[in-house]
Amino acid sequence: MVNRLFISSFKIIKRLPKAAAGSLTLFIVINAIVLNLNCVWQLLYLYSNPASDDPIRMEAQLHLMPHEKEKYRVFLTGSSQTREDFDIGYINNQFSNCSAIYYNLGLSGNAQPIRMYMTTDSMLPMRPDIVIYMPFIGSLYSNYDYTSMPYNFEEKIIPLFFEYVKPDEIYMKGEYFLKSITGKYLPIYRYRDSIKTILMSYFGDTFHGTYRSKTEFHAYTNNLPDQYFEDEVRKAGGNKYTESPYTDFNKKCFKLFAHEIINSGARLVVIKGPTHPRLMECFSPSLDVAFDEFFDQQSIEQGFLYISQEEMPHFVPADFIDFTHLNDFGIRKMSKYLCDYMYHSNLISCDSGSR
Amino acid sequence: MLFNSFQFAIFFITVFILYLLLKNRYRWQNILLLLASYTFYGAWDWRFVFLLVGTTVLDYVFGLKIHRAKGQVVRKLFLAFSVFCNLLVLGFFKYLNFFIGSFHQLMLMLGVNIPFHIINIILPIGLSFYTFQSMTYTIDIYRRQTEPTRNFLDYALFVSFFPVLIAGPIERARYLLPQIRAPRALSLSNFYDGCFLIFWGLFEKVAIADNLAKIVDPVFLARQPYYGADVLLATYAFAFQIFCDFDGYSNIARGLSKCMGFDIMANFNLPYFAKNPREFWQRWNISLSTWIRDYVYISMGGNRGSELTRYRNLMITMLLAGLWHGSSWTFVLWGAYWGFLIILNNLWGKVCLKAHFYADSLISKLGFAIRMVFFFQVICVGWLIFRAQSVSQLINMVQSVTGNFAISQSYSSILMDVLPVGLIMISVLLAIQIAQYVSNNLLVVLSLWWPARSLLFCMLLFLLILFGADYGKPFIYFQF
Repeated sequence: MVNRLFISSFKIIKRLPKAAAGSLTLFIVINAIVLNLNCVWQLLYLYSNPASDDPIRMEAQLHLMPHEKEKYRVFLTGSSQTREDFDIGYINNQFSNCSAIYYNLGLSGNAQPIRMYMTTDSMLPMRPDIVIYMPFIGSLYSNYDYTSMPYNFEEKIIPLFFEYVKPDEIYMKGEYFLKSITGKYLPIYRYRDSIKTILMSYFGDTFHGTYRSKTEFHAYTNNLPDQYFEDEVRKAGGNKYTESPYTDFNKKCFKLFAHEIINSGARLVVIKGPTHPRLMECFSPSLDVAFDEFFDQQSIEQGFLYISQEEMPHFVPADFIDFTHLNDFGIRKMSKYLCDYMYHSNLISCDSGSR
Repeated sequence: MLFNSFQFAIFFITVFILYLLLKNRYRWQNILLLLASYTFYGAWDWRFVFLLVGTTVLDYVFGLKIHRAKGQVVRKLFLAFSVFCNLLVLGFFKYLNFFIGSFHQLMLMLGVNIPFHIINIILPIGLSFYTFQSMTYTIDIYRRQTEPTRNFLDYALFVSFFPVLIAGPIERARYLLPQIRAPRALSLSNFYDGCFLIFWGLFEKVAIADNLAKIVDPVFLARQPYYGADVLLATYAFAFQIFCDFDGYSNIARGLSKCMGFDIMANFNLPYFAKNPREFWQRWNISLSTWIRDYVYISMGGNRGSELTRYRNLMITMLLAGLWHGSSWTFVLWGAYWGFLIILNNLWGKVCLKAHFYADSLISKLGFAIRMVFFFQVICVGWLIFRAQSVSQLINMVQSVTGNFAISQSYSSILMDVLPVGLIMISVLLAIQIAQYVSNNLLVVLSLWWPARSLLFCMLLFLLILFGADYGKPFIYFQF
């Protein structure tokens, strides 16, 4: 019986199209080789564009991290706020003698906890010592952005979707789940838009004989005029951010996110993202209170540090490009604050006088 | 449910698994395919399922009546009813507003202002294709080229067969019905061939056509002023876009059918390798061109009668072929353009014969490739007419090519992003097509040594994943 099964299986395998099998094998092998080449990730990291290529930049940074840890690893995570509001070069310079290295892993979008929870599987194996997460009001009080799902998808999120999201909505968004599952096992599919633009930039530079020497983190440079804020406040009508069906889902994911980080041995620091004073006119003040209460309570329950707006430097309109992103003045203020906080809170041990 | 969507993939896999489970029970397979076809059509708009059922019932009944009728006059009457009803449906949904608007414009030109009202009519998807497919049944019965089927479900499946329902190929009753009425051979080789056709069709649509759309749409959807170089580049890109879009769809349709044991006609045979208008129409949208030839041109008399009669028949046929594509004067102009070219080609052939030359002898000295390239320009002029949104846009674009031959700044920045990818894709397409032409075999890829095929498939897979657009752009011929 076993022999017959073996023979019939062998016959089936013999009849399988060699070309299709060969091409799939070749495809998998080339993928595996290319995705394990440091030079490829270095190219992807160097030529990644801020905002559009944040997910591939994050993965490139994680991939390029040495396995042997020589320094403290501090991961700055969160939304485009994280990416824009910190001068990573300045910060690393401040801590160059402190055996600490900071990585800016900010991702374009609201960086809601639903998304952040999915990043732990790729982040935590790199053994960060400190994870700094910078949410803002939109992280808890807006709808989930399904277009971001394919970039960081992990299967562990699926049961939570069934718990918190209505079945008809899941059905309507089914294509995102399919793309996410495909992207999970095919990084070249997941990042194809970024790979295309990065390759075009690289070949363009090669053609012109120029080469990039450092990665760009800042996408936004021009301060928006006052009229923009006026128009946006009017458009928002006090409802830019509201309790949404995803608020509880986000809160649950944050708890899981925090739990995983703390369980891994890393310290978690949550900083409330600085926002333009006029953003407060776009939503109900009670949401701001609820936001602080939630993170305050979680910080006590889970054991992490929560830095609210009151503890941070005072940001004025002149510090902002738009409602949520800082300009050069604001970035300097924020980066200095972070360095001082990290130094004085002894989260990172430095030799005295080394800064 | 677009062929290039995840929903369709799940749909087809489900249907195919059930189809395999019903092996050796082709009647049950037919019922499954019928239900699947109506589900597929209903997914677009459930209201038009009734229209599909209506036209199906109509032609099924007329088919039987034509066959059973004793006298030729009665047979002709039933055929006329069938054709009339099909064309009435097509005319109402597709051309009513066009004719109303054109009549109003004509009256205005004559100084008569007649108030009119455009009715908001949605064109049912696939109408142009399945009405023509259905008409082949009654016409072939009338011509005694096929027997009617007594099984309504078989006929219903013939009309609604989902791989070809939305955008063809327009199958003939005498070719597809016998396959429906008999058990199909399910074989691994058919399955592999089918998978290749689906893969290649997807590549043509998703990797080539949808990328070229990014070069085409910004020019043709823009307002004045037009720049000549923009128009030229967009027209060339459109030539490849429309071919890959339509050929891609047809290949996917063939591939899906082949997996299930059906043999569907190839709708394209390397049309851009044609050297003259007649050859082009023997290679482009073959199912439509042969339909128009067999059921319109030949019915009007074809080549019989005087030369003037023949040219008249040719022109009317091509005008109708143009009009079939859509309710716009640009399509009529496009049909007229090809009618004119075919007549000119016939006249040229006569001139050469009379001068004791063979039809292409003078030009044949220029070489095969040059003739092809030259004729490709002629084809592209037709595509400019076809793609223009209106006659006024067409005129403005032609004027820009002759009078304002420059490239706009906004378009040049689009080209910087998209053109390299477009050129790579067209190169891949041309390489494969040259191999197909030289070997005179559309499936030449399948006869390559297997390591070479592996390499080719792997490269196509990388290109498809990296450059394939996945925003589910509909097929161009859906709008017809």
